[in-house]
Amino acid sequence: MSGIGMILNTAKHALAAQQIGLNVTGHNISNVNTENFSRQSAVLENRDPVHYNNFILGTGVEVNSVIRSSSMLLENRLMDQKSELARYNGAESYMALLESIFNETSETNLSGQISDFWNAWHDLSNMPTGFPERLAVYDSGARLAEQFQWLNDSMLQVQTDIEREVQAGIDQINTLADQIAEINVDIVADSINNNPNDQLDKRNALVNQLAGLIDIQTYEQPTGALTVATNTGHLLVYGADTFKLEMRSGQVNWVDSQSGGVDITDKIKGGSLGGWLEMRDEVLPKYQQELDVLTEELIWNVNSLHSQGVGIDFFTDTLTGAYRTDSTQMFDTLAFGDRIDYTGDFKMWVKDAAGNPPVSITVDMDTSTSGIDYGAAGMSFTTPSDTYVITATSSGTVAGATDINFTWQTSSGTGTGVMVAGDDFITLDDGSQVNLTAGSIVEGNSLRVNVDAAGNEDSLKLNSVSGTANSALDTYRFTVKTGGVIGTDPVEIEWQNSATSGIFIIDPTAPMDIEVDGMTVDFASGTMFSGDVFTVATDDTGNPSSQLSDAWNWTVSSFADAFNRASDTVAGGGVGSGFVQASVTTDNRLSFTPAAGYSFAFSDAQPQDAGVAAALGFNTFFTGDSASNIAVNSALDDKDNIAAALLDSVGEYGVGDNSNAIAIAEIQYTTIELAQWNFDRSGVDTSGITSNTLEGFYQGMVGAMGIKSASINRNVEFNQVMVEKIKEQRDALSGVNLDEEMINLMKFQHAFAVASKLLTTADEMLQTLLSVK
Amino acid sequence: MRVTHTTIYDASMTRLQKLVEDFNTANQQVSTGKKINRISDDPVGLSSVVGLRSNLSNLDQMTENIRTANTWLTESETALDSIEGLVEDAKILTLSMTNGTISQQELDSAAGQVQEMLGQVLDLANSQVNGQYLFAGTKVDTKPYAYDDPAAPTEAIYSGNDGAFTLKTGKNTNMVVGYSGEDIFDSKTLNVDVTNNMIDFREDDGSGFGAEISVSIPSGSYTRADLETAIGTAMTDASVAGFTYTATYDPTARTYTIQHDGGAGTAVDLMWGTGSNASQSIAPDIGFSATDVSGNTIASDQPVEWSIFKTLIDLKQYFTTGDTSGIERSMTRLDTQFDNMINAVSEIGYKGISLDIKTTVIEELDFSYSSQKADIEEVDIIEAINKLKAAETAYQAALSSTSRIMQMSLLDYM
Repeated sequence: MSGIGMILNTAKHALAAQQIGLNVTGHNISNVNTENFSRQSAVLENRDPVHYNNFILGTGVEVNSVIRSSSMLLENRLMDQKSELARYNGAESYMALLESIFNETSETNLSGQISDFWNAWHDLSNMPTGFPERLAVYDSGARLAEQFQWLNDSMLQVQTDIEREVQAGIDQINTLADQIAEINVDIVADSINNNPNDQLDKRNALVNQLAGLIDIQTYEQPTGALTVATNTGHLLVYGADTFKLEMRSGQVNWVDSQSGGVDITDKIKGGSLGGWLEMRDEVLPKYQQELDVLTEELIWNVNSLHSQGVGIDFFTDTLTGAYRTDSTQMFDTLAFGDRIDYTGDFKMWVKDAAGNPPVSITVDMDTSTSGIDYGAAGMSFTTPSDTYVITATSSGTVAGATDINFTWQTSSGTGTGVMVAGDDFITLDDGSQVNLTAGSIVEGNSLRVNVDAAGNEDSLKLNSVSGTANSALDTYRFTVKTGGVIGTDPVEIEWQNSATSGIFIIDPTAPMDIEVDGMTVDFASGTMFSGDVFTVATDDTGNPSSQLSDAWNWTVSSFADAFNRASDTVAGGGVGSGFVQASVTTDNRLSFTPAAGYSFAFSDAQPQDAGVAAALGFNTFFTGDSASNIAVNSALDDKDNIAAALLDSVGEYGVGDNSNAIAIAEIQYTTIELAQWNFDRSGVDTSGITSNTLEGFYQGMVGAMGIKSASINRNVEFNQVMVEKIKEQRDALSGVNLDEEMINLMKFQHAFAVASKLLTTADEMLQTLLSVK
Repeated sequence: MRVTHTTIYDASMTRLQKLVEDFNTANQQVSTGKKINRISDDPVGLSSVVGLRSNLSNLDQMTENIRTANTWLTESETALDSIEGLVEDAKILTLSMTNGTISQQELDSAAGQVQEMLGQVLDLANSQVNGQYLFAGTKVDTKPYAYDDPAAPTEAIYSGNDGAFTLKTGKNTNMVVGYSGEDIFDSKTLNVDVTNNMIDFREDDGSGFGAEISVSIPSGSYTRADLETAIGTAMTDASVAGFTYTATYDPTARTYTIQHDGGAGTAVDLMWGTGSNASQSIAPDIGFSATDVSGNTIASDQPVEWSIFKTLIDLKQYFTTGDTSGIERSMTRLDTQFDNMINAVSEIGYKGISLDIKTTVIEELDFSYSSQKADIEEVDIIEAINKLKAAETAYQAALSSTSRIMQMSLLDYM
């Protein structure tokens, strides 16, 4: 087989090969601007030779394959870097939003509002009787409250926006995973004989998009299929199969084939999702929490002074406290209940219309030193499976010289009790007996005893509370959700501190030392009812100490009763007794009602004020306890009630007295202990205590925000540069250079032209032969 | 390295973007005049700016507080200055009335003048600033002084309280600017001299009253407490019967009580009316009427009143009745009031000076805070414009080189 036929054949192959070359070049030129396109080239190969006579003759050219210039290593590095860039880009946009919300570069911002508020108090102190000055204090307070609320709402809005975007991101991840799986199928099919170059490029583009959303790992299998997994190893694409991500109660879950979810939220570090989640779970909560800390301290410090002051007049109408307890009525459950100083007193002054000197009503806020004598012989309860709330209505010493009177209450009944002089137990009129340890009993204190099904005392007992709590100088409030007998039934308890909350179950089959936010609470025994509350307070280094409900507490009711007893027996002056009565509202707030013609005011209870008026929300400047609900007390709608003055030791005051206004204005110079928070996505949120003025604390907060933002910006810049560098390297290998292609175009064109000439030549040769007749 | 067209385009784009950004930043700094336009531009600097801003706001407020304090002090000073002048006039008048023989007609006319002065002093004591009374303690809405009986006043009743109106004039300083009228117009001390230093008394040790004993209180200035000791000591030292005398002042009832330890059956007779030195007795100054009074525990029958009003009311009374010893005694009392006014005025003067010093300090601080704030926050305009110019040049250069490189194509040569 040789001769002209062979030449023709060679020309045919040459034409075909150059044509393919042109084709590939054309494809490259067309895709010069296509992202993720890898330059392709036709690999020309000389065809197998033939033996002709003694020669081995070449048979021309053929295209062996079309390959793409691509490096898996570079592609992966680029993908990783883009993922990192996307993460900081995601965080950057929200950080910029946060910065503009706080807007500290202009004058109309929170720090300006705080200054205005103090200045208004200064102005009032300069002119305590002036109505415009009072109005200014009210307005600046209201504006400040609004600003706090606005900041809080704006941050919540940012949080909602982020959540919406995370949801959209997850939807996109799922779609991309589906697309990758589809392309995987094509690639596996085409890989058998060919290089599916364009499919590979397309898949690469999709994987890049996916990496921009979430940090992933990829492995190419021998079949050509790409396996994609999250950085925790949870598969997203496996061959033709995909696994979904899903938002479940705000957390990103990986869903397995049985629809079971694995929470991978805190493990997502890269991609936009990583950036968004970092903003949502680390950055935003810090500022939300610190804003709350600031608000809370502002409210308490202003309120505790304001509640001890007096306005132009005494209160003549019923006044209801702004703060409520929960259904247990315990003072500990008030928003600022943990700030009550039980070594102090509560003091109110009452005036009549006749102008007699005011009289004072004082309630001593001490707490009893006695306690339940666990396991004492003779202790018994008549009503089983219930809680006895026992309240002292007189003071004394256990086994002392005088009788001490009590009242008791269960869910089904009430009654009285007495501890006879010399006895160390209370006999209740339902036949129950409560034994107490030695110590004092203070009128108004109340305790709760849980009784088990057999009628025995079975209050909650802890072996210990140990460890170091993550939140220092805070109160952890534990509320029983599902009751039962500890050690027998599963008891579900919810806990909450000022920043976070959680829920746990005391499982009778498991050890009962429960890890709660850094502390270990070791439960011993107790019959718990739904709604039972106990607290653990932490000091400034996080050391916990517990306060159980069977310790003596004040409740709104016991306080109201103690107040009324004091009011009924008030001595001295011409005003008379019993003209202000306290009562408890249905929503567990306290109310003071003066008789017609009588009026009352609050004052500093020398030598130590307990802060009860402020904690119950009487005569306070603000209401609310966080940035979300701070507002000016509605009692100040009558601006005369702004308390610029203080009552003196006999309940008199001058309306021109400005001592309380000055005291409130001085809060701005006062150093206060405030909690600085650090939120970590691994779930350990910690606080440290810093001493600063309110404004100083806010400055620190804004400074920290700026530093965080600046660091994100720097990371964006750095990663941008890195992406560019790697992309340059990638393009150096895979990118299309038009000049190069142009040359290739001409190269193939010329080759084609000459191959055509070969064809013509062969044809002519044939013609010549044919013409030989 | 192989350079592709994508690389060229991408690189140009990035570079141009960066330059536009620089250009924009430079432009923003020039047009806003501020270096910090976002918190992250300079977090540490901004944090100080926020602090400086609140310090500045506080300084403004302090300036405002000091201005208010100055108004109060100026008004008080004016009022007290005028009263001081009136007291001086009263002194001159009294002095002229003790010279030679003065007819009752002249005395009556002098009494009229004193009445006039009294009215003026009362008005001045009721001075107001911004509708608030200067000398009412913290009851700034209450007119502090009024006559007990406007037709025939025997004293001016004080309705203010003993508080002090205080203003905040510095981070750690409060200044009293509104005084209690009692602090200013009610003298805390009594000048005792030959006109009012005598106590005449008789003692009964159980065997009837003995002879009159006269003692004098050493001349000098006494507070109410000092006077307790001085009276007790003087009478005990002079006692013939060997009694120990104690005098006690009751600040609520404003009375002096003189008692001795003689026990039952003994007595003392204070001879305020018939004593040989009754005209120089201390009785009116410690609340006793000019009548003899005897017993074991003897309390004064009138409130002890050392106020400027009482001094003038008494003076007028002495003129009207032609009581020459009373007129002479009034000289001492007027001296005391005059000294009190001088003291009060100079105290206020010192406060004024201290406010002036504070104002200067605040102005200096204000300047230093403002310039610190400007240093951090504001741009040096020359530098900023230079930067803007540089950014513009760089941008232009990049635009021109980019457009040139983009025009290049092999096609042009084929």
